[in-house]
Amino acid sequence: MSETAPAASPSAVPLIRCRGLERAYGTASARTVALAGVDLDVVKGERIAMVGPSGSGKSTLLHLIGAMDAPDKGGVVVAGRDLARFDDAAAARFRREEIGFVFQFFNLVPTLSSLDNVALPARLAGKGASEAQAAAQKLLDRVGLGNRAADFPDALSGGQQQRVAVARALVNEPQIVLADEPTGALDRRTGEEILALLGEVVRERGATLLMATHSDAAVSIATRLLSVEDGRITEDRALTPITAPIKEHA
Amino acid sequence: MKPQRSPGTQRTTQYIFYEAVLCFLCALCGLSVRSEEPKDFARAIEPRVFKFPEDFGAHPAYKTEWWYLTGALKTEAGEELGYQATWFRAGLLPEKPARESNLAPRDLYLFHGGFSDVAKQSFAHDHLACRGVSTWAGADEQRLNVFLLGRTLTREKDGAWRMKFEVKGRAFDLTLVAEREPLLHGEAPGLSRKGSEPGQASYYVSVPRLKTSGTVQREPGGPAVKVSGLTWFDQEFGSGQLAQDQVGWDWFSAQLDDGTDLMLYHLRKEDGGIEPQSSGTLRFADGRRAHLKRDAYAIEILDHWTSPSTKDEKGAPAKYPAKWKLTVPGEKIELEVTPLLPDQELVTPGTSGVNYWEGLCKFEGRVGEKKVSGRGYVELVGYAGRFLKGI
Amino acid sequence: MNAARAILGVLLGDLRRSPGAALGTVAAMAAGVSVFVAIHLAGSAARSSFVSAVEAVAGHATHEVEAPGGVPEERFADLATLPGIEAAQPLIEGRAVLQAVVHAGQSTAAHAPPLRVLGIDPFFVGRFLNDGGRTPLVPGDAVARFLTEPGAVVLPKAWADTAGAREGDTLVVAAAGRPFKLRIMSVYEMQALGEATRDTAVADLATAQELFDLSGRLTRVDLIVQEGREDSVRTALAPGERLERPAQRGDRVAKMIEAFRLNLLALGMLAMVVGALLIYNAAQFSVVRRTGLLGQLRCLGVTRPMLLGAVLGEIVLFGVVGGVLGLCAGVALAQVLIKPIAQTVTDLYRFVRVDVAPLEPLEGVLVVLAAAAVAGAAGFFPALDAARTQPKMVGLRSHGEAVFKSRLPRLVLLGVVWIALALAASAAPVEGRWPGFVASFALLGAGAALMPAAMALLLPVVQRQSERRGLLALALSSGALHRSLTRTGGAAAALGVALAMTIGVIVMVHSFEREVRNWIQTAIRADVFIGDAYEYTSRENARVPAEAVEIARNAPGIRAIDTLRAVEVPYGGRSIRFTGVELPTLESRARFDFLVGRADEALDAALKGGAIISEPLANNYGLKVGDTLEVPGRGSGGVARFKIAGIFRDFTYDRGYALTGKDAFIAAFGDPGVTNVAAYVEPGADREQIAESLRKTFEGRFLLNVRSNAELRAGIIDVFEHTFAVTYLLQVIATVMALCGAAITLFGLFLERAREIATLRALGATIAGVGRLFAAESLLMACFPILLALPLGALLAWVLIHVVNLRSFGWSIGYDWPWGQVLATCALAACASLLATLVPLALAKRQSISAALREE
Repeated sequence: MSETAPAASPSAVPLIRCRGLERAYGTASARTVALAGVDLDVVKGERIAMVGPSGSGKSTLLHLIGAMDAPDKGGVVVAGRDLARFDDAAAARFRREEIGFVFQFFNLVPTLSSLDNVALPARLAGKGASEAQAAAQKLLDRVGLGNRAADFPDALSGGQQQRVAVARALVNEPQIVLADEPTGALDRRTGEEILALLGEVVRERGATLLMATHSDAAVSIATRLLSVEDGRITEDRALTPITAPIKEHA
Repeated sequence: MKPQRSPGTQRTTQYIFYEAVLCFLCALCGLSVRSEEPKDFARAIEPRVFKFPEDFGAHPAYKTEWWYLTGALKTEAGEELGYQATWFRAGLLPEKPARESNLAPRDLYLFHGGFSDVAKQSFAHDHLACRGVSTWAGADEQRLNVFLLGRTLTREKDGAWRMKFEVKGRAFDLTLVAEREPLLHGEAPGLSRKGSEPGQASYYVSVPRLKTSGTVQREPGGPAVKVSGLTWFDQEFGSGQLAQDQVGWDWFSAQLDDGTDLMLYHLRKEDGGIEPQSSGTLRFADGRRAHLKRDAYAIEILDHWTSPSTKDEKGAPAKYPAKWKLTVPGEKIELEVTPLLPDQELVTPGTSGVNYWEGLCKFEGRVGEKKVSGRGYVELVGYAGRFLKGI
Repeated sequence: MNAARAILGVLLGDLRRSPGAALGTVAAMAAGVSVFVAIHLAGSAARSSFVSAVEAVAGHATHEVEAPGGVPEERFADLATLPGIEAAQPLIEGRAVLQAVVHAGQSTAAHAPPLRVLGIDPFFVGRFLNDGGRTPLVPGDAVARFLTEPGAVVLPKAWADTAGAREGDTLVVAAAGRPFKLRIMSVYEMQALGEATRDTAVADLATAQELFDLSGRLTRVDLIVQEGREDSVRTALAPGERLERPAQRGDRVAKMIEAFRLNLLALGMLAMVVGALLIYNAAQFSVVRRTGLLGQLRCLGVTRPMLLGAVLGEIVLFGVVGGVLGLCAGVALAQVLIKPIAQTVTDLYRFVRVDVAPLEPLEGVLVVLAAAAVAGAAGFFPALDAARTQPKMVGLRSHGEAVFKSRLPRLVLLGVVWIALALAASAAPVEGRWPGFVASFALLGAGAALMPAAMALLLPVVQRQSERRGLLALALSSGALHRSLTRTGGAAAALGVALAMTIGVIVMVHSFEREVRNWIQTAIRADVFIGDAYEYTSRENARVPAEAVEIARNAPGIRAIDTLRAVEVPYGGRSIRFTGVELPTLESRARFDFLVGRADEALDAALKGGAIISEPLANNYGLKVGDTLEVPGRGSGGVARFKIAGIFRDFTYDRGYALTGKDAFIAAFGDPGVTNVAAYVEPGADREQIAESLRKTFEGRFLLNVRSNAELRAGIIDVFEHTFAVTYLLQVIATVMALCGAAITLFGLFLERAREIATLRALGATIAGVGRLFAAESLLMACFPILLALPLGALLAWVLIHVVNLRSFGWSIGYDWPWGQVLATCALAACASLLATLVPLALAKRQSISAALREE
């Protein structure tokens, strides 16, 4: 671990701090250890690609950081807030205000149009329909689907759906975007396009990205690479300097 | 009358309903010997004074009574016919019950009818029972008027008797006119002893030789045929007249062409013997009446007939006497009695039914020096099973 | 065959992954079948208790002679001796209610089912018994006692056991308004008369006459008439006597409850319709859900017919399983239904004791076959859709939905056809109640067909509007419902149909009840009513003894009494009631609400030998004022004639009811005795007090029911409510079934969307938010049916009131819409629907978002 966190300057307070995270699933007899003690600090603006075999614990780590799951041991502090203290409402509020999610299988709401899918988190956050839709339209334009706003998910290709999902992840201007295998369900070329898009929009907004991926291309948009195996971080290295300006955390 | 009731035993035969009723009736009709001493009914103990025609009416103070008619008829073409028509009255109670309903009976009535067509060698019989209430069945007191659902025997204003009945769909409409005085039976005229005990007797009167005319349907619903002939009428009433050990009887009535009327009977006992109180009555054309005691006459059986339909007590086909020689030595009477039809058996269905033979017979022989012939009826009871079985 | 089985295996294997759909089909089938079977069993039990009793006693009789008020006993001799009669038997029949059993001088109050006492003549009954008299009713050695002992009775063993009575005991029973002692002469096993007569005791004619206060009369004379001699017998009848075949009496008796049974059956069918809708729904969904699988099968070379066969086979299999389960449930349910049904039949027509007969094995098989057929029919079109699936490896469910949506125009057309049929039927100039039923069912059919179309049309509107207004949960849920229209449409249709029927019946019953309550104010005027305590149990021989009538007449405080005499006379193949009254007071005259005719003139005419008739009688037989009502009676040619002077409202007899003066009544029918006394008290006297003192006077001597005006009114309302108890019960069952269908559908929808829900939660939705979503969805699922049910229910109520009721019973009722009850019903449906979300919500709450997202 000698190469750990090269970009972590002493002045930068970590946006995400994970300490001693342990998480296991299943019953006592058939227990799957997903995380076996993970410590991780993430500084604002970092774009982290996590690689590792299936079942190594990448998704679990994302879910724990996203307050969608709770660790058996250890804790996660995001922007100074201890996730363990959240009740359901606080967790939900945290997810919609601080976190943007991109899923492997897009997980668009099939009964909503692209626009409404994108607008959905804004609406969940209490924004008015028109305000949310305006923001969503902007994001759709940004991901290149401005002309498909009225289309429903089943009318879109996989890549298009994932673009919508990316837009949806950003509509509430979250500090953190969590992406779980965002290219996993796409062909290679489309996957690369999505990664590029994801990298760009995250950088534009100065958001922090944590991404579980199998794709080599992910490395191209990441500033830091984590290798995860058997629930532990086995490698952690910086890739390229963070190009976007870093605002000091208040 | 008292069944041997043992809980749990199958009493199917005794429970056969309809037949049991018939039996019961027969028992009540005085054919019964097992009857307990009826306490409330009057009994035939003393001779009584008869007054006719009033005494042809009913005597409900006595438990049983019957109006019994047997007749030999001829069609205009000379074909011989015989008939039997009987109205039984069986008193359930000696007085009319004090009940709200008119349908509560004092008496039961039973009708038996038989029809013998000698030319066709066919025999038919019928029976019907009904409570003596309303217009259903009954008999007037002080006047001959017996009725049972349309089967009627009535003395009309002119003194003639009118009788209507049917036997299995054959309608009879006959008018009867008495040619002689009523004939009283018994040693004391009118009181006919049936056993040794006082009260084992009945009042018994006959009107032999009723001149009979009218119409008969020889086939069910067939044409009404004009007939004429002679009828023998019996009326008998009493209460519990038969003795315990009597199992049946052979009864003869004859109307001979010399004007002699003859009635005699044997009451048969369990042990095969003949009841000493058995008797008979003779009346000659000149009106002389003779009471015949048991030893004054003899009945010799000359032949037998086996029933195709009934069985005796042991289960063998019932065997009836079928030809007789009657002798009254004191009066120099010898008569051979031959049935004009072998099968004149009245069969009531079922094992406990009452079966008896009641048939038209030819009487031939001599009275004194004179050759005589005539017609009459013979009644044979107790050959096809003891009639009381199962009651 | 093997191929089809293999495919079926694949389909069933797939089901194992999502057993909910299969469960839905089976449950829907089972529910529908169980209600149908239960109604069938309970209804036929009620009917057979009527008819078999007739048959058992009629035995070998070819004909019977009856006369209003009874056949004079002396007529038996005439009838028995008519040419062409092979056999005849006099009979008296009535019912007595056990009060006490006296054993060894010790009297104990006892209860047992009412005892039917048959007065027979042992000398004539034999020919008429089914076994020709082989089995005795009366032991041969006991005939003399049977004939001569007052009160001697032979009891069926089962009844005696129930009553706790033995041979030799004395029974105190109530009959003809007073206590009567019966002595148990013997106890019989019931082979002779059969199962139907297990409550039948046999007594001698005389005892029966005394028991039922029928001196001089016979209930009827049974005859065996020779072939072809019927006419000659008929010409020999006395005035008032009628000759008919026992089956005709059975028919008349059966006709009494025919309308009632038909109503029940219609409700049973409703349950079946709801069940079929739910099956259709489940089948349609299961096909749509497995579009992918079916496409793959097609790729693997499965032909269309094979696929059709396999899918249909699967549905039919569920039908069979559901049918068998429904059969079992139905038999159990019948035990529940039988009581209110028996109660109603007893209240309305006459006493019945009904037990549910075990279902015949053949009937059971038929029911299961029918269930399979219904399932097959309901599943046919979905299966056809399945067979049309294009071969492709990746099938989209949305394709199936699209296919379904493309069918909507056809459904709309179907709905229009149904509506046209409903209109045609309700306007049809056909007599009887069929048009009403056809119209009702057509309306329901229309509702069922139009529901999915309405949803397809309205849900996107709701979605757009709610989006515009920022009602996110509503937008999301309407979208979800629209997306799964194959499922939600059918479930909503089923619920809508059931609710519509419920609303229709509620409106009808309410309108009816209001009418009855109004009518009671007019019709129930007397202050005190006296009737046989067991009027309902023993309607045939209910009587107020003459002595009791005199006591009432002379009781202090009573100003006047009116005596009512009633007979049932056949008219137009049915029975109608004829009543003779005196109308001694102004109030007794004021109680008639004349629809046609002027009150005073009409009543005077009725008292002078004319008649006034009730509205149902007028409507059922098209009788008008001025017509002559001809019924069997002691008039010339055996017909009694009454000129109709007026038509009045009456809700007591659905078969119709005619009323004449006492003298004319007795002239026409003889005097059967007083059945009711209506007493009017002195001005200022206390009704309740007078009723109470009469009760005290009667106590111990008579078994009479003395009721004050208020009590009688309450009693009538009670009977009214009993009458509709079954209706309500069945409504509730159908509605609960439909609600379960809706709940199962919602449940399935929620479970399937676990991932979607998790996504929403990942996007920041709270549990409360998810709850709002569920609530919105379930409310929508209730709202559409409710919106459908309100107008449809109103129409149905109209049909029930103006077509069914008027035509089958002849009652005209004003339409009255009970908003409170209707809204409460709707609210209840909505609440029930909401409740259905609780479990999925709890599951969603427990479900880890992360786990739900992980699953695919």
